[in-house]
Amino acid sequence: MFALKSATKRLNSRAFSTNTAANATSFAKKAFTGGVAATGLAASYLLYADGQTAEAMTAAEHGLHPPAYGWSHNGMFDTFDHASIRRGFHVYREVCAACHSLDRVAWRTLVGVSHTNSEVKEMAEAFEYDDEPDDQGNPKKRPGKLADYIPGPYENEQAARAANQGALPPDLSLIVKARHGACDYIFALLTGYPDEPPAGVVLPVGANYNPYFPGGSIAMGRVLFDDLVEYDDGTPASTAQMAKDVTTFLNWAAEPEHDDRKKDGLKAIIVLSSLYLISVWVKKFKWAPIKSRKIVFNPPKK
Amino acid sequence: MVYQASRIAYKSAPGALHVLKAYTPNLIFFGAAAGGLVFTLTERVPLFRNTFLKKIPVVGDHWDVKIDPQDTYY
Amino acid sequence: MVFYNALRNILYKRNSVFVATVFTGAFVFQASFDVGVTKWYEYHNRGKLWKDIKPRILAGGDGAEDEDEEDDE
Repeated sequence: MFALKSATKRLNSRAFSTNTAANATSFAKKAFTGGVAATGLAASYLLYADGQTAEAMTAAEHGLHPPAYGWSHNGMFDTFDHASIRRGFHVYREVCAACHSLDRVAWRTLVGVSHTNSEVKEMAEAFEYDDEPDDQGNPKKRPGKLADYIPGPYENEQAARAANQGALPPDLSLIVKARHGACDYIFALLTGYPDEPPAGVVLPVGANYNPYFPGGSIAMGRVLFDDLVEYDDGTPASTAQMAKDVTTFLNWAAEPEHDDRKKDGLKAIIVLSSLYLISVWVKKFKWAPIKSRKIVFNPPKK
Repeated sequence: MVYQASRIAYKSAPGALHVLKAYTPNLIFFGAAAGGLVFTLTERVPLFRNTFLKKIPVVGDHWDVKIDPQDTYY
Repeated sequence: MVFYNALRNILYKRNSVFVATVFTGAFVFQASFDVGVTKWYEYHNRGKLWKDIKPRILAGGDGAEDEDEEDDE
């Protein structure tokens, strides 16, 4: 009881003393008020100045945001659907490859992912690559090998632009990583071409309208139509099916380490969280006697 | 008066062999520990896999990785 | 208490035993942990993996027989 009382008293006296210290001089008070006023005025002016300029980018110029689709590889521990990668490669070869290159993907990377060794070898051999020159120094050609990279449709950027009215079809190797919205954007773009542009939209010659493309005016036209390709596994080739498959394939091309990465992540999560829990337990184990001990002082009796 | 007699107590000094003998179990266990460390660190090295790990009875198959030639480009 | 005494007597009394247990334990753990995680991971993603579609491709590829339902977004 006594102890409590004295504690209260001490608290009071401390509170009192703090109060005294905070009792500012009239100069400090004025300086503080002035500071608040200056900050307020500066903020107001900045807000006003900001309001004087217009935002150049309209919503249409940013492009329509794609919806979030339920990709089968969305989850933390979900792999790609490899059957879909295989179909997606089929779509790429038959449709996209007419304009888009896939420079950073080698034939060999498809082996054991979507195709067998002999299938990929056969596909690679259908292309010609530069070989070492012969003894007279004349350039030679050779059939492709697994180690070769998938050839693009054009020799160089100038040829690609010349064939596409000045527009350069981007390389698709990393396109899923390179676009905001990733898979969702690619799928929405491929399936999002309206039959005709909305009223009032004026497009340059040769351009097409797609609301998901920033600015709405895209050089690429709609390319996917129902039953454009025939899948070797019998899946009906609807527009949405092809767009989904080719997007999955492009996501694999951009992130070939994806499946292993998620597995390693799972391992890391299990090990690190176990170690964390153990460390919490050890800390408690070591500190429990120290935190719960009671030190008693017995004053000598006179 | 108390009679005190002292005599030198001879004792054979423990030789190096004796010390070695006392430490034998420890050395064996440390040897096992070193072996375990080597196995742990070299688990992925093909030379070690083929020379040792594959030949472990019962579980040796785990390191005997057979990849279908259709699944790899090597 | 009996358990802890046994643990102490068997495991911690000799440092050599303790160190050997740690290293051999690590060796056994890294192999079995990998097997366990891989097993769950492949079970979790069954039907989507390369090894699931490979038999069909080797069998000739064609045929609309067993294409598991494709969730169309």
